Amino acid sequence: MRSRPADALLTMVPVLEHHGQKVTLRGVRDGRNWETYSLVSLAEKQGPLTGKTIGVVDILGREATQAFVSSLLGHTDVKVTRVAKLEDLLPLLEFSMADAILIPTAAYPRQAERTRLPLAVRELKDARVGLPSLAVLRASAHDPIVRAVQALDPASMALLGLTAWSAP
Amino acid sequence: MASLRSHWGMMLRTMAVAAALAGCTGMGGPTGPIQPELPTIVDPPARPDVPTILIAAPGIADFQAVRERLVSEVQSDYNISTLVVSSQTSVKDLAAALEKTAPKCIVLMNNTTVNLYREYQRAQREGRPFPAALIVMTSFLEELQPTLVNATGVAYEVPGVTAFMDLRAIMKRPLRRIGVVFRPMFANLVTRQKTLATREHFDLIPAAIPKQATTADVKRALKSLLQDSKVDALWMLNDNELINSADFLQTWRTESTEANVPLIVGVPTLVDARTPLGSFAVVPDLDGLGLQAANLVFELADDDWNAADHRVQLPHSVRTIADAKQMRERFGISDDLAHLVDRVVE
Repeated sequence: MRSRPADALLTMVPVLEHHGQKVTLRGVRDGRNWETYSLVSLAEKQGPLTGKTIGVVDILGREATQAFVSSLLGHTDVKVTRVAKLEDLLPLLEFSMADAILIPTAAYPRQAERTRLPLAVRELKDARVGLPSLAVLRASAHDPIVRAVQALDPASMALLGLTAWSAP
Repeated sequence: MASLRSHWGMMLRTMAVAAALAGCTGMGGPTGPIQPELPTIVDPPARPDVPTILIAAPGIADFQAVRERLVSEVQSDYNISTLVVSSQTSVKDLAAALEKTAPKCIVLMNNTTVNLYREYQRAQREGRPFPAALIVMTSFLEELQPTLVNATGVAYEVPGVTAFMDLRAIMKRPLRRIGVVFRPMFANLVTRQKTLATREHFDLIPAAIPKQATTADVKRALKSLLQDSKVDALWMLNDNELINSADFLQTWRTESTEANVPLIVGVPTLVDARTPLGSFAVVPDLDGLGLQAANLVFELADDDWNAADHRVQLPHSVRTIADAKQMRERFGISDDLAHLVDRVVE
C-alpha cells in the first residue's frame, strides 16, 4: 500500500479497521454482515484457555492478531501461533503445535471433513467479526469501483463468501 | 489452470520444491527448475541497541522467499544480517559473520550451511555459549539436531499424513493403505510418518530396499506393495538417489499405472500432464515456512534464546498440485477440485 497506493481495499473488516479505513460497502452473507468464530480443539484436550496456545490465520500481523484473538476469546492469557492460510490450521492440532484453533464458524465443516481426529467445536456466539467489505481510498475512484464490486458475478461472490452488499 | 483453494484474495503462485537443498544428504527435488540468482540481498538498516538475527542461506529463490517472509515478520524487533552462503563459503566466513554481528539467533538454511556451522561449533572451546540456531529447509533435521549445540528448527520434509489427508479430500475412491518404498537412511523418517498417519486412520505400509538399490529392487518392492499389500496409493519419498534416475521413475510409472493407483510425490515437476507420473504433489509452502520460522524466533526469544529444549517442528504449511486429467480418468475426483488444491495441471 505504501509503494503502490491502492484505490480501494477489499478485505476483512478487522483489517480495514486496523489500517484506519472506513467501510464503503459492507459484505453480507445470508442477511448478516458479520460472522461468528469457533474454537476447535481435539475432543480430549478441551479445558480452560489460560496459558493455552491458539492457532489462527495471520490477518493483522503479530501484535494485532494477538489482540484480535484475545478480544474474540475474552481472554488475554493465551499464546497465539499464526499461520499463513486456513488450511494450515488443522496441522497445528494434528502435530500438537496448538491446543486449539480459531476459525470462522462457516469454515469449520470443510476443515472437519478433512480429518478423522475427534474434534470439539465451540462457537463463540458473541464474537462477531465483520465479513469482507470494501473501503474506497481515492474519492475520484469511488463510483466506478463501487459499481464494479456490486456487479461481481456469483462465482466471485462465492469466493468472497458473500451473497450481497449493503451500505455501511 | 489456477485453483481457488485457500481464503479469498490470496494470489496463488506456483512454487518449486527446493531442488536446491544444496549439499543435502539425500532428499530434495530431482528436476526442479534452475533457479536464477537473485539481485543482491539488502538487509533493513541496522539500529543501535537492537539485537541481531543472522541469516545464513543460499542466494537462490526458494531460500530467499523464506527469508523474505521471516524478515518481514521480525525486522521490527531485530536487526537482520544476511550471509549469502555458496559453495565457496568457508567456516572462517561464517565465524567472521558471527563475530561481527554477535547475533542472539542464527538462522541456518540448507544442509551445507548447517555443516559449516557444526564445524564452527566444534572448533570453539568447550563450554562456550552459542546463539540459538534455528534451522530450516534442511533434510533430516531430527537427526541433525543432536549434532549441534542450542539448535532447533522446522523440518523440511512434508509429513506424509498431510499429503494423504489432502488426497483423501479430493479423491472419490477410499484411501486408507498407502505404500512407501524406502532406503535404510529413511527408516526413522518412515517410522515417524507411520505413527502420524495412524492418527488419521491411514495405514502406511513400508517396503525396504537396499542402500544401493537397483531398478529390480524398486520393482520388487512396488509389486509387493501393490499385489500383496494391496495399497490404495503409493507415496514416493524425496530420495534423490531414487528420483534422479529415469529408470527408477519409469519403474514407478509402469507399476502405478498397471495397478491403477495414485502416486503421491513431493516434487512439483513430477506432476506433468504431458508425461504422467505423479498424480498429486504436496510441497512446502515457502511463505508459510517463513512465518513458522518467525513464530519460532519469537518463541526462542521468550525462552531466553534456549533452543535445545525446543523440539523440531513439523512444517504445517503446504501447497498441493494435482494432475486433474489423470486423477479424473483413473481415480475419480471431487467436482470441487479447484477449491481443494492449489494448482491443477491439465
